[in-house]
Amino acid sequence: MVELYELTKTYPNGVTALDQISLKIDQGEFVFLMGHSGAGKSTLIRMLIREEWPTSGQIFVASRSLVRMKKKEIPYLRRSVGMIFQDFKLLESRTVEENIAFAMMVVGASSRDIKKRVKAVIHEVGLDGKEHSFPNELSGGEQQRVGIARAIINHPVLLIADEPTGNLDQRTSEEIMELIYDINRAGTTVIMATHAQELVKTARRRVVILDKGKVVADMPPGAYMR
Amino acid sequence: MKTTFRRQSAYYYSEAFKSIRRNGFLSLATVTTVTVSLFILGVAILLVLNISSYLQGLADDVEISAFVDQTYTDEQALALRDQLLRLNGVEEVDFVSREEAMDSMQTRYSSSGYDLEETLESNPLPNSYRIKASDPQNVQALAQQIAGMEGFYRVNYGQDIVEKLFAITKGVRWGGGCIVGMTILGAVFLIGINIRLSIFARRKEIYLMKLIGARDGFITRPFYIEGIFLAVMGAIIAAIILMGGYEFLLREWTNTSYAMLFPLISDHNLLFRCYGILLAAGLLLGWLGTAISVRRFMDV
Ligand SMILES: Nc1ncnc2c1ncn2[C@@H]1O[C@H](COP(=O)(O)OP(=O)(O)OP(=O)(O)O)[C@@H](O)[C@H]1O
Ligand SMILES: [Mg+2]
Repeated sequence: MVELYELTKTYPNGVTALDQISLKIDQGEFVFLMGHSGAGKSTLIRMLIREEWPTSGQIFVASRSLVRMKKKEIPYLRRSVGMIFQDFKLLESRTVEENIAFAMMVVGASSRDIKKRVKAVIHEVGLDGKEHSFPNELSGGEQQRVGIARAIINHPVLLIADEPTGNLDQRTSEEIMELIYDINRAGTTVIMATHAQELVKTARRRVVILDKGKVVADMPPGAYMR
Repeated sequence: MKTTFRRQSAYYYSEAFKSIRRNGFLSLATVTTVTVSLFILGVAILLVLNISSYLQGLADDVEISAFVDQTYTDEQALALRDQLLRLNGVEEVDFVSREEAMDSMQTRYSSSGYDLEETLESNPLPNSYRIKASDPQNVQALAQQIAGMEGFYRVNYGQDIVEKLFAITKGVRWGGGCIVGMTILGAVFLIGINIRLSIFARRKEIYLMKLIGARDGFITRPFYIEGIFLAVMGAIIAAIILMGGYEFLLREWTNTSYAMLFPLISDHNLLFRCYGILLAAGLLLGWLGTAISVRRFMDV
């Protein structure tokens, strides 16, 4: 699903955020990305949707080379990758329903399909009854559920989450994780950057640890027990 | 919630009009600027059209008088006719013999009641040609060409009036062009600022749309609708004012004694084409202003 070959990213300011990273993630896998602040987790995630492009090396997502990808093809890559953010990134002036529907309208779906699918996804993430609420009327956990609904509405093959529980308490984090595990169980590959060690320990999934832009550990499920 | 599950086109328009309302006074200023600049453009076009049509009307009146060298015999003078006819842009050539010239002078001064030729003892007038140009714009060039020919010692034409009118048209073209250019630049600039503000107000949304996988066309369309709408509104207002003003002028003018001397264009096909140009110009301005801003500020 995701393949990196000697991927290096040096920002224009001279910081090398990723240093010769090689990594392979199979379809249906669940991978935690860990490492200290500044290790390069977010940079790696941004590379996967072509928000940043490599200084050298190769990236393939769903068999497509992002290095060779033309600017015009980027939207289509992003449609097959769902993104969840630490700060949710919801549109404040739109309701829950509108925020979720927006992602489908953007890709040109018909209003009938949107209506059907939005209803189903709202149920899936457990937001029934909140359709017409605005983001500032929701708890953090509920807002992240809206974020997740928006990320999965177009049936992505890959779900990328950058510290999705970073702004949530323990209990809410666990609820959100359950939701993400469900999505993974249904077949979607998941890559999640996080600092939440307890959460990763109990998860028993593959863990990749970055430090100063290098992969320093790649542990199979159950190995992360520190 | 009908609005939640909108089609894309509904989304484009609602976003565009939301922006127009949000920009409030600036939107109004933009429309006004476009109106002013296109109104001036319209006035300049109508002015040039009218002067050109007037000049065309002068074609019948402006003729060139070319005087044949006194050393030429009548036969030699008559032979020049073929050479004149061979020149480009010549519509008609009339030979005026010395006698005819004298006669006409005689008639003109007949009120004084004496024989001019007798008084002068001989006929001092030369043989001459009266030449009509097919295009009044060509009169000057044609006159110079004839003056350069063998056998003519002097060429007269309505120098004053022709040159003055050309100077006026040239002035209108240049002055009008400068003013129109400056106001149009201002209009494009204001449209650009409008769109820039709209982009800024929606930058979070634009960033999100990009991450979700919206194509650039989807993201920019509301801005194009906004820019083109503002500009075309301005153009429509300019066209209406111009049309009303010109129709009024036309009505008033025909009642005055100047109407005979300087008739205004009243060919409505031509006039409507002129108003159509304003609308097309509005469309172009809106598109241009938006395109510039979108190129510069959309790379979030
Ligand atoms: N846009 C940018 N321009 C320049 N340098 C950047 C940029 N983004 C990140 N960096 C630098 O790249 C390095 C890696 O940053 P990155 O955000 O990928 O780390 P991270 O692992 O996500 O950290 P955190 O856990 O704090 O989110 C850091 O040194 C950071 O300062
Ligand atoms: Mg980060």
